Amino acid sequence: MVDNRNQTVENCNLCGICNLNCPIYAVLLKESAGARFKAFLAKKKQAKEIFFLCTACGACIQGCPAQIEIGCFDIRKNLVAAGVEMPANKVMRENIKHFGNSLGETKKGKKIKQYYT
Amino acid sequence: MNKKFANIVGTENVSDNLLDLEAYCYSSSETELKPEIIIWPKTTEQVQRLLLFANQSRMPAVIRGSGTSTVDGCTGENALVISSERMNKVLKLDVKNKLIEVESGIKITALNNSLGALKLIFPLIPFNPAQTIGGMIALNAVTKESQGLGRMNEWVEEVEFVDGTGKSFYTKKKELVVGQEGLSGFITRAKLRITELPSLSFDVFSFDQTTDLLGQARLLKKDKEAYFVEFIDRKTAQELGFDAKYVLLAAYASLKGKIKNLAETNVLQEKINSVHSKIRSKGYYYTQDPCVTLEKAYDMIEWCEKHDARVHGHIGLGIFYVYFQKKDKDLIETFRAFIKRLGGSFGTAFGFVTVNATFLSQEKKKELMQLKDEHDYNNILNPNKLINYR
Repeated sequence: MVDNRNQTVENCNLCGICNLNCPIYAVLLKESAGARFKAFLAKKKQAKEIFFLCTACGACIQGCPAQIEIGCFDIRKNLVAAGVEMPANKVMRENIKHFGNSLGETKKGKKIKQYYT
Repeated sequence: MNKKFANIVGTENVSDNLLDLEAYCYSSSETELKPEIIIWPKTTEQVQRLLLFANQSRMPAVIRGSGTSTVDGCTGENALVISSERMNKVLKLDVKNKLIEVESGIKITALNNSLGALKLIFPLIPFNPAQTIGGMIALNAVTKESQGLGRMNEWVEEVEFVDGTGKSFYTKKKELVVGQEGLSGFITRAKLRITELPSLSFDVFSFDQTTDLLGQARLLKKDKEAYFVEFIDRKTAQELGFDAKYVLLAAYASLKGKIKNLAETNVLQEKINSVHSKIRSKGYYYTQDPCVTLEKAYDMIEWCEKHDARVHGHIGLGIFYVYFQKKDKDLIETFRAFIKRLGGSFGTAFGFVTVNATFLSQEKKKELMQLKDEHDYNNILNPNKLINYR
């Protein structure tokens, strides 16, 4: 019933319905883990590490009465560009560099050197 | 301080981390009040010990559920925020007598999801489905179904709460906490009545003139079979697929309505449930909850049309939701003054705390003073939110 265009986070009035659907919130049961807090920060243009605590499932957008997209991906991208990233991210990047895959697995018969030279 | 609370609830259930403090400084309003510490108790005993300590150290405590208050009911500057988020379990279900016992932090949506398989329902569905049962009890929630089913107090059988001195009560005297907006105690659990899923029939009425609309609304208000009667303004009605007229949707928990076919009734239910989403998706940002008599609803609807504000609501109960765009923020004060002139009030749906405190009746203020004397004489629970006690 709602328009398909996603609205910017400035239109969020923090009703909290997004938290109902948020899988992170469902597990941790605290406001700072939920989607609403990310919307609150995004509205204030505050990029913090907490944006990495998101499964990117999009359930918050589905539940939102105003179909607001918080824009976690863009914020994360900016954070990484500014040098703020999670340790797992760094490991993943190094793995891709050295092994050609994010998990750091080596294929039989291949040496690490062969991946990046 | 942190250590003391950690001894009571465990280190994982207490936080003075800056990120958490920031997350609990807001609710569904624009006000931000930074708390001092956040605590997530899991049992009644923990709440008792927390409030006993808060009372002894005269520390202001704010009770919070899912933080959906639009009137700053669950935030407090330098306060101890006690959140019921982790008290969210169904404790007992008595299918035979249609009773359910739940912890106060359970959200209405979660509660009804758990009952869905049994074709049972807690029938009062609030404006914001993220509300907790504790919040609904504290507000004595009124919903669209209240026309046929009454308010929250009629669905609460027994309630357990901890007062401001740390004493716990499990009582049928629900008036001690129902509708007291957290001033007398922290609700920890409640025994609620539930019912079978109603099969509804509907009548849809469309009108060009407000006078005709209100005439029909008057008839429906008296109709004892009416489950709910919803009003939708012309623009929203058109966007929902009705004619561009004022729409009245009357639901009956009997076969009285002309629309009985399950597919059609489902479509209508979906339309009713999506009114809020439809208006919000059009960029309407602020919501007010005016309560006016049917006679005065005419003036209110005219005012809203003139100022491009959207309106829908429970017309049989005289409770409306009026939406304003961001650019019209300044209009809200004018609107509130206009409703006051009409003899109407605000707070019936969203609560009276802080923002709507001026609309609280003298009798209610007196009742709250007496409750404070008995249950929170040091005024630690939601201090100075509704009344100036001591």
